Amino acid sequence: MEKYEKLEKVGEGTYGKVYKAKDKATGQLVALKKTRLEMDEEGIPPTALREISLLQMLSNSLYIVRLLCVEQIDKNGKPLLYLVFEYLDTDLKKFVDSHRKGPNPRPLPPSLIQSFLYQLCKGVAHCHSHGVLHRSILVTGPLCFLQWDRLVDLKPQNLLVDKEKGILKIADLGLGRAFTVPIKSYTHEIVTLWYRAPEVLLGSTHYSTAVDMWSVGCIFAEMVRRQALFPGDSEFQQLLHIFRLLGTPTEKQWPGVSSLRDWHVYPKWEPQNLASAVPALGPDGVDLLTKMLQYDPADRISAKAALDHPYFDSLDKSQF
Amino acid sequence: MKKEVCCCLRGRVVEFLIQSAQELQVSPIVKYSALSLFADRFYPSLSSRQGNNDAAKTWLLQPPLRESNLQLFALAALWISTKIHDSPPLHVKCFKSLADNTITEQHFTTKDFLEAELVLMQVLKFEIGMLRSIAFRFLEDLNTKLREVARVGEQLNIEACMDIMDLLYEKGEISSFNTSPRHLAASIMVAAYLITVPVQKSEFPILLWVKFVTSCNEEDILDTVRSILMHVFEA
Repeated sequence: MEKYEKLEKVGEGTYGKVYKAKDKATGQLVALKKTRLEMDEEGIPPTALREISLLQMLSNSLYIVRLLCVEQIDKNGKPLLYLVFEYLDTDLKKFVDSHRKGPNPRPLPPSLIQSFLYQLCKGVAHCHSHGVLHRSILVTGPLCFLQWDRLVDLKPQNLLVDKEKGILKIADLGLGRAFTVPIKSYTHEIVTLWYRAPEVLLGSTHYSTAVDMWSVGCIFAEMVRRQALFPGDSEFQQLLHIFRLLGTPTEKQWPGVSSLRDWHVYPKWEPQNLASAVPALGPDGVDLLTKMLQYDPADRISAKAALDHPYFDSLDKSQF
Repeated sequence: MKKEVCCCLRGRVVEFLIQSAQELQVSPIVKYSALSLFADRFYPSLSSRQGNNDAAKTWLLQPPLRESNLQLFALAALWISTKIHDSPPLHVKCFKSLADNTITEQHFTTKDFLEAELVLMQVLKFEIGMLRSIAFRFLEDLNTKLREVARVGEQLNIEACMDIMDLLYEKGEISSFNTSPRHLAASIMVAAYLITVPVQKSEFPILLWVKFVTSCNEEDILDTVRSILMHVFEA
């Protein structure tokens, strides 16, 4: 670890600390994520092995933060792993906050929102294609199945941004959690409430990649609004936030919804006009958002299909 | 570490790995991931590695390299693979008791297994994300596709393909072909077809089909198939 000079602590999660650091030889900035290995009789935890393997597989996408290497050191006889990531200067949450608060509050430029959303869909499509393609390869148990599907913990804090270059990358592929949280509760911890899809909130046990597209929709709206679309503080409140805007889902709209485990009788709200929640967004953008926020997961647009949506027609795709 | 780690030693340890995989009844993907970690990555880097990193300090890699130490690493590779692919994975106990029964040269403790696992990871620089590209996955994929398009696919046994792959691993030929996993899978498929499908039934244009599905070069595949067949009939 002498190779790196720690500059400052940039984050602290349940799993350990994250430092901004500099590669002494090349001057390259990196993010060091320290992970304690609970080394017991069974050696390196399977979750750690799976996640490193996963990250290395996905790291070949431009829109996934790159895992540069893994360093293993001994500290007082206890092995520690450092995951060395490329460094980006901020995350989407801080970036959006800086446009809402601070000395110069202003909307995010529409072209930047468009570009960020495109990059996000690219990254998600990349994860999904590997998940779908390789689910059967890496895991067999039903619990890990979830881990595969629910690989990406999509929320603005986990999207790193390079302000100068206008680049957005998905970071934190659930690695920290997988290391420390017992897998059973992992299913519950997956998505921060605000970005959690209704089928997850309603206790569905069979998620698909569509849950991530719900999160993408919420993030899209948040970039436009500069505040969260559904800021619930409990699972119940979260559902009410969603129902109040999109209407209480019906069996006709979403077959099977009333037989989901946590379904109750809710007030019957009528759907509001989604455009009124994102007044700055044009009709194409509203259409795409509507497709991302479909109740029935089977109706929700996929990341790959989203890339071809007319909303991106005015984007210069050659740069990606 | 010198180049003299001899070929027959390598072959013996690879055979040991394959036999251990059988004893432990792991799935093919665990076996081939372990082979990929051990034979494609770990073993070759022993002869090329400069002795200045952490891994070099461990007694497990002190020259002269003992066969039993390599056997321990082979088991560690299987252990890592089962942790990646199986849920729940096999316990270290399974590997330890297998080692107690099959490795006679020295006795390894559970702690030795832990150390071997870390050393192996260090030697691989923690790069274990290549597993998806191993030839076995492509082979399985090709086999499924062949069944979809032609009845002759039923005749072509994936076991036969796996036997060929094992043999190539034992002979050290997998890495010396120096080809992409896709190309290797395509070639093994063609070779297995030629060996196992009776001549009167073999009117299916296997070579063209494989070429079409994998977009590998026909001449290259033929070359590889030729050397595969030579190895098979030598055995």
